Amino acid sequence: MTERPLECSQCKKCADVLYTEMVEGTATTVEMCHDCPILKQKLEGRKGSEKSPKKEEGIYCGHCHTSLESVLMGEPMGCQECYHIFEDVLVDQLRETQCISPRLKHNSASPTATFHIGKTPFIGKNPEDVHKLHDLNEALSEALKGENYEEAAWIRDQINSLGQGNR
Amino acid sequence: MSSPFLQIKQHSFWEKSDTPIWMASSFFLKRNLAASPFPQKLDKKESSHILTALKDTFLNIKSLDMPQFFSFSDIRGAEREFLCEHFLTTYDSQNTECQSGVIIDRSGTFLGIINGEDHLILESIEAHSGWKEAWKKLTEVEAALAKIHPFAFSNKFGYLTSELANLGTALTVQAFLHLPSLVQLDQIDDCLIRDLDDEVEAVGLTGTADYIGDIVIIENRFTLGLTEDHILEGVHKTATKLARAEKNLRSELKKAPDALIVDKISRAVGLLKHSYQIDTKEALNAISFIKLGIDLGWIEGLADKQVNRIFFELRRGHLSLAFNEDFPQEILAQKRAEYLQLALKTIKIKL
Repeated sequence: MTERPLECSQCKKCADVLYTEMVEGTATTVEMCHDCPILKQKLEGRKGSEKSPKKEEGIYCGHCHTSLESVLMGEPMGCQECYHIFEDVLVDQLRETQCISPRLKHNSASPTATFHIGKTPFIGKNPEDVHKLHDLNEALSEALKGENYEEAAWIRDQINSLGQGNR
Repeated sequence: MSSPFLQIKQHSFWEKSDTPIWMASSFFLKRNLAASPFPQKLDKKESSHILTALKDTFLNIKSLDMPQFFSFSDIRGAEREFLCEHFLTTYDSQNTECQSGVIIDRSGTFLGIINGEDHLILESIEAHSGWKEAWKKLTEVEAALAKIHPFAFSNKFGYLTSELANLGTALTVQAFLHLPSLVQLDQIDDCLIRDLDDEVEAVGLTGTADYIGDIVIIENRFTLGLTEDHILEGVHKTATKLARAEKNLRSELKKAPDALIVDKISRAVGLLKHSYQIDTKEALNAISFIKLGIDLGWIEGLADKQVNRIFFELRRGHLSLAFNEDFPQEILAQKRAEYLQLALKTIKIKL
């Protein structure tokens, strides 16, 4: 059985750093990821109120006010808009935290890669497309089952174009 | 005052399970409304508005059998625990500012959580190896909701959830397997290495590799980058293989009883029939052997379906609800022992 990767105690990404801190003679060790903002804060000796301005800090979602820093910390997303605003960061996080099925890894390097291949919400829009989509999804499942990735990619494009046509 | 959830308990569908190995299947779908911030970002007024809108839609969905709404603020601790135990689920942390609630249908097989971790968490369970009905019911409810409330969705990421780990299909499928022979004879790890592919994982009731009560949960690891059909098929395929391995092992045990298993079953009978206090983990581990003993024909006096009911009723939420009281831990352990002695008084070892 594959063991779960150790998680950063701060932001829940895969842990690859053991951080030991001595405070008043007591050593505390925590597992953290190498790019955890808390780790950087500890190494740079900054306190919460003394943050130096960073390029990415101060970016917020205009709809729900979720900050980039909180996204980097692995906190929950605030709204649909967050996914658009923080798209690049989220793609990196999805890859780092291994949230994407390995079946898609071979073509997820592209910045425009589409990760979702499941059903799409077409209810009440175009009934013909709903049936077509169902057939395409079945075909996609078959192609993936047979590890026919070229065909799967083509079918996924068809599904996506159907989705855009209904938007 | 008696709890409104007692009706679910009294008509427990857990007694309807048609197989001693594959106890249940559970399907979760998470959805958020496109036009609103997710629950963690909602204030009381906004969350109240969403709660009312979703509740009204839910109560008019035809595929649900007499759905009832309960506000989380009106559900006491033991009742909440009872729901978690009955639906084999956990409630994630919620925004205390958020107005939230649950919808449950009369059959006790459908649960809808409004304003939990996401605006909607839909769960359907089925207490036997077939799972088409539960999945069909879940997709019908989701489609009925989607007609009125457009869901947050992007072509790139799929259905958008508050946690990245649930993105895409936002579907989690779990198969609950009772595998005492594989676990106790130390064959479970070999089976998992052989039968588990990268897309599914095996956990115990607490979410770790500690298989309390010899229950092994097979669930999908990924919600993104796979189709719903693929997820369903992956979990089903692995669960079927493990159930088959357990069945084969039980057939061998019937022909040639293993001394270790015989001893553990005998001890479990003694423990459950004569304990004065017993905690949940110890009781679940022991009841697992009773369930196995009944299936092997080594214990008589109780049917497997009745043991399934006991399996749930010995847990804290169910016990507290039955006695209509929140007990301290030591009293609860005593009440559990009393309950088990009464529930198992008819069993006899045949060996």
